[in-house]
Amino acid sequence: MSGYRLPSGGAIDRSRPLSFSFDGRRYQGFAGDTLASALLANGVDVLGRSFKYHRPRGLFSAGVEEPNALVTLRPGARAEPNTRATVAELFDGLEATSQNRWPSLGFDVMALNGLAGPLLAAGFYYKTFMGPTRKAWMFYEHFIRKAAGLGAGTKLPDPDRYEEMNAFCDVLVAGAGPAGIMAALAAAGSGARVVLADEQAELGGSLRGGTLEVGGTTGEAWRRARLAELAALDNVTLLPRTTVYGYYDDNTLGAVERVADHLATPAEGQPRERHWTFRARQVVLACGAIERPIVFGDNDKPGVMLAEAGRLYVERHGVAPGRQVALFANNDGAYRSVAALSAAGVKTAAIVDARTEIGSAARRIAEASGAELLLGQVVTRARGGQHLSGIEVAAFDPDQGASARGHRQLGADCLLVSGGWTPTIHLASQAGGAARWDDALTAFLPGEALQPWRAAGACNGALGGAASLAEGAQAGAEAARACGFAPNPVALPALAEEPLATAPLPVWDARPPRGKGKAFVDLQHDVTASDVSLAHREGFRSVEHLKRYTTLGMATDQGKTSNMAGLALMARERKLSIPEVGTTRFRPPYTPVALGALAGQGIGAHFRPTRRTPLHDWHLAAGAEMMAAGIWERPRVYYRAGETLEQAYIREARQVRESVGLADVSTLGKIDVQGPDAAEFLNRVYSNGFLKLPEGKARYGLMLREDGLLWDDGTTWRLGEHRFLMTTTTANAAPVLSQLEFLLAAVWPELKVAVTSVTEQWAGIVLSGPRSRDVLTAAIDDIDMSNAAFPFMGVRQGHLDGLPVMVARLSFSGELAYEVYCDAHHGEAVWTRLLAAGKPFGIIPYGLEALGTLRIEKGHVAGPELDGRTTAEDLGLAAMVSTKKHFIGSAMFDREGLTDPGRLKLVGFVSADGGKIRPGAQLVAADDPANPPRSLGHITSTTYSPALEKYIALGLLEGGAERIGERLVATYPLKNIDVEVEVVSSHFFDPDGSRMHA
Amino acid sequence: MLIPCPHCGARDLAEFTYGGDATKDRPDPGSATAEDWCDYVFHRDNPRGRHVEYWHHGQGCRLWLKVTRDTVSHRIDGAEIVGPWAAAAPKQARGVA
Amino acid sequence: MPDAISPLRGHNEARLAARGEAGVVLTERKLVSLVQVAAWPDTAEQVTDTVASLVGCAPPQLPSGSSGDAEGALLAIAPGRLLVESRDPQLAARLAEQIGPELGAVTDLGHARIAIRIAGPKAAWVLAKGLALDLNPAACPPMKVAQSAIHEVGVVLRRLSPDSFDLYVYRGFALSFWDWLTAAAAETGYRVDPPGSA
Repeated sequence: MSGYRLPSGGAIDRSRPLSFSFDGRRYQGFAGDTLASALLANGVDVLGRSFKYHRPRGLFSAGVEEPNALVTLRPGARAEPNTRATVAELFDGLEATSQNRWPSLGFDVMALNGLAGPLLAAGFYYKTFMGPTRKAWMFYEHFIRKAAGLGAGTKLPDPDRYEEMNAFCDVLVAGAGPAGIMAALAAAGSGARVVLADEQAELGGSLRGGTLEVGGTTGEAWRRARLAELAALDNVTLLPRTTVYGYYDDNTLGAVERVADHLATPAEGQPRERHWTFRARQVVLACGAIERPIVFGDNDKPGVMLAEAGRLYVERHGVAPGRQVALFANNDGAYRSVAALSAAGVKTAAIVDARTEIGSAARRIAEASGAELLLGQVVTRARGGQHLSGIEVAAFDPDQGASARGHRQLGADCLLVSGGWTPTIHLASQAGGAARWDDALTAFLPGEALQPWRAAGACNGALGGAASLAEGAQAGAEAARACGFAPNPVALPALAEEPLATAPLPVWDARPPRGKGKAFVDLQHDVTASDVSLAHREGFRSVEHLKRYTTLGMATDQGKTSNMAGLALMARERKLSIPEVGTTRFRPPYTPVALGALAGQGIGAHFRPTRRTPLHDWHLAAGAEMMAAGIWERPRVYYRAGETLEQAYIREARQVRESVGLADVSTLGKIDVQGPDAAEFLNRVYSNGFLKLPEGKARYGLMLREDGLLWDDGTTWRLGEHRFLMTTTTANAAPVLSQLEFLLAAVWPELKVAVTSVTEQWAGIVLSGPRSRDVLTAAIDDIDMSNAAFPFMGVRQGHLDGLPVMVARLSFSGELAYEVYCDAHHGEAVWTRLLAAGKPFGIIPYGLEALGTLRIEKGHVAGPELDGRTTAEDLGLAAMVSTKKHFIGSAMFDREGLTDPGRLKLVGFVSADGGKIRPGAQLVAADDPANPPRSLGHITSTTYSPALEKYIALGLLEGGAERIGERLVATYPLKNIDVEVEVVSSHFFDPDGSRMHA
Repeated sequence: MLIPCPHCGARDLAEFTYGGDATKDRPDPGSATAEDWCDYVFHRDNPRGRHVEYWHHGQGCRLWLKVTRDTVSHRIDGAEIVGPWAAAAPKQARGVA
Repeated sequence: MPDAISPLRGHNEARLAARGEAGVVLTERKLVSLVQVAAWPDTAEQVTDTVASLVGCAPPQLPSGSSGDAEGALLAIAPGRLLVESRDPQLAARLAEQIGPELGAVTDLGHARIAIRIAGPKAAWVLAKGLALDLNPAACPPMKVAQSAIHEVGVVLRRLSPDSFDLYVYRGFALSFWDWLTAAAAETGYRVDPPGSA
């Protein structure tokens, strides 16, 4: 219990206390706190257990890089696991719980893993469970997965909304610290459209709550004034709580705005998070830098944290990280934290610096603090139980990069560590060349820009305030200029204080040889310095192998505080420099992104749009069961009380054969084909002839692919000399239109033809059954319906209740049938009028199932047979393929492989044993169906046939019609279903077609 | 990825459908051999670098375009309308708005 | 003659769903006639002039502008292709009379699409939730036309003023799109005005 709230100071609102709970205990914080700062203020020091060894862990940072303090926020459906307490803004009533501990944080039985430490080194699971012992993994996996891990997500549906937003701008500035603010100011003044986004609750970065003097005032006051200036400009968008996480092609960047994550629940209509897709002409990366730790023994003890975090808790939140604070550093910049502690009245007990010489400003800070200054020394081990109680200090040998044995002990309840700074080059790396090594900063800097971005400030290596401001201003002006704007120079604010140099003395592992305690490199994945050595010994030496073998840098923090030390330790093992070892490329996202934010509104009913026919409401009102056909919703059957699905479709199909039924076929693709060359065009598109199709007639057409296989079928109606209405299958409506457009653009640009989708313009109703003519005669008075005047395949135009209709005498069911097309907005009127006219004949609506039954009984092919592998000949449609003209597919339909007599051919099957045949069943010889030598074909479409009073099927069979009369077995081994079938002609019903020509 | 449609301007990839290799011309059915057809229908180079491809702006103007694209960097160097309307809009140079 | 039925029936009735001021107003417009005219490359100019004089407005600015007003409007949607809206119920027939196959193709789309107006200070903000188009007035000035997709639903968009847009949406997608639109507008609050009032 070392942290406490300071009596004054911090950018918090002490007049607004907030109540919250952690693991069920109630605490109080203030507006402006993070969960982390509020817990620290309440002296809560253990916030979680580590991933593998279950060691107690406390706060390590004050930002997105936090590896330890992962908690589950909120209860119930809004529960969000693995949230970093350091970025969770406190709100009244916040409930947080710790993770990866059982039964409690204070006592965790899994901590025994720590005692088994040597066993759980890198590669333990591979070595233990691969090879001969692999079966053991199956047994132990459950227990191991339970022991290692993170928080558990909720299984309840998320009650909140997430949204997408598309944004376009001239200059996107990612990061709103000193460099980002200056970049935005410089670009905005030119009139360029500027977006300034930053992950924190308020823009300002390191200036937030800062006391450093900038432009004659405090950093805090300066940033507020500049942000007010920017906010007043129409051409500037300021986005706090917005993390730019990914950099994609064509300067497209992804960002997540946490709109309501800082509220208990979002306001009505407010999204919880908003995903932004930015398309920026120019980008300024001002992403800052992250402080890096130094490896030493037991460096994970609660109470050990980054030096900058210590400063931020004091200056931003008015919280002291400890009562007896020590600093362990290798650079002058870290002394800012000591200055902040001193200013807040917090005692720094000792300063341990690996260097023998420090800058004068740093020395003044040290002397003013009254701390004991130990130069040329390093911390080799942290001491204490569940919390830091002291440190061991020893002399450092910079040549060896390690400390001497033998140490001195100092008391401390908080150790601030600074090993220098790692520029945040993630976005630059995603959209740039290999990172550049900077020896002075011992850090990787952004490489070559492969997209229009420029880096500025700390992420570009400008770690000092003045350099950062200047780089930002320049980058902003250059970005605006690159967009064609003329930026005016912006004045740089003066910095009062003497700068603290940030170039560190390289210290990666401060332990003496064979030093005691676990020395963690990756705190979140429990990867230690000895794991890196082990990886090296076992030959996993490249950075990519190191990462995968040890999992270093692969936790949710993606190694923000550990990657550099990991590289440095491998470099030491390999006796190479860090740039020679190299670094891995960063991939999006920079920080974790909620899947909800990526899905946006595209969930549930909006996962994809739903397409409804003009008769949709009628179907629902009639009690139809709807089913998805692509994105269309179509009626499957219209149930009557007590009916099963099978009873319902059998009744519907039977009624059509006996009298009349009507069905909604509005989903068929309809394409308006017009122009002086329309007939010629269709003649080249279809495999059968269309040049001589007379006006007022329809023709069934086949479309082949260039490779000769069947693609689509449908009827095309000639409405005028130069005008056709083409229909396609529901599924291929869009691809066929695209293909027609392609042919007119790329293959036959000389043809004057316009094609336009009119699928939505027309409602399509099929009226089918022996009484269909009687129904139409009653409903339409200006078309002569007689067989002579309106023959099969005829197309007529007329009126129904004054509404214009097109009627085509076509039959998919094999019955006398008509398709009636009318204006879509009048679809329901026409449908109900036809129902009324058909009432004397017992007309019924029928659905997709009965449509299928009727066409299978006729042996008509549909989607299951047009499966992209069949030819016209396979399906008995060879007569429809002209040998006298060129058309798409004419060059290849008769190639060797497509005319092979061994190909599967369409035939019919009837169930010989009364069993129901399954689509997809394989056809095998009847003698030993359990061990068939091979498949002879498969079943494509099945139904119960009310006409034959049997289960029937269509299928593709080797030998085809030659096998008619044979007995085979349709086997479906997944369900253990075998049905004995007899091979028959695919024309089950009315093979001579007398009914539809009646 | 943004594709600079000569009619609509730079648009998101999601509005387009890939139409394949645009370096092959359909053989003249009057004179082509089986080999010509085999080459046109089945054979495709898989170049590393510059490639010319068909893209259909199906969620826009519905024009077919020839797009010059680098298959490594995804950089697009230009797009032009295919067919009778080619003259209606100038070839669009890389036009990220 | 029976009434035409909107695919938004039961969903487009006037209502207020706003916290405070409605950020946008949504209205299903009455679409009397909507016709597509497609010219051939060598007749494009002539066809545009013919259509413009028949509708009674100037030809639209190319490549993707529009002209006209509530009485009649021309939207340039692709090279040589115009979408023509008019209050004349006989528009399709009149156009077909004047534009024969030698000049181009006339296709009635009066029932294929519905028209939705979205107006108000937050109109561009709400649309940007689904539309990957730069709606900044400099890039998308009034009278500009664009074909694009909102949440996978194809739309023809016409900007009328900085704060108002007309959307033409395929009938079959209309309700799905309307649901999306009202969900997207929930953040800013919205009002639905009676159908045909805009």
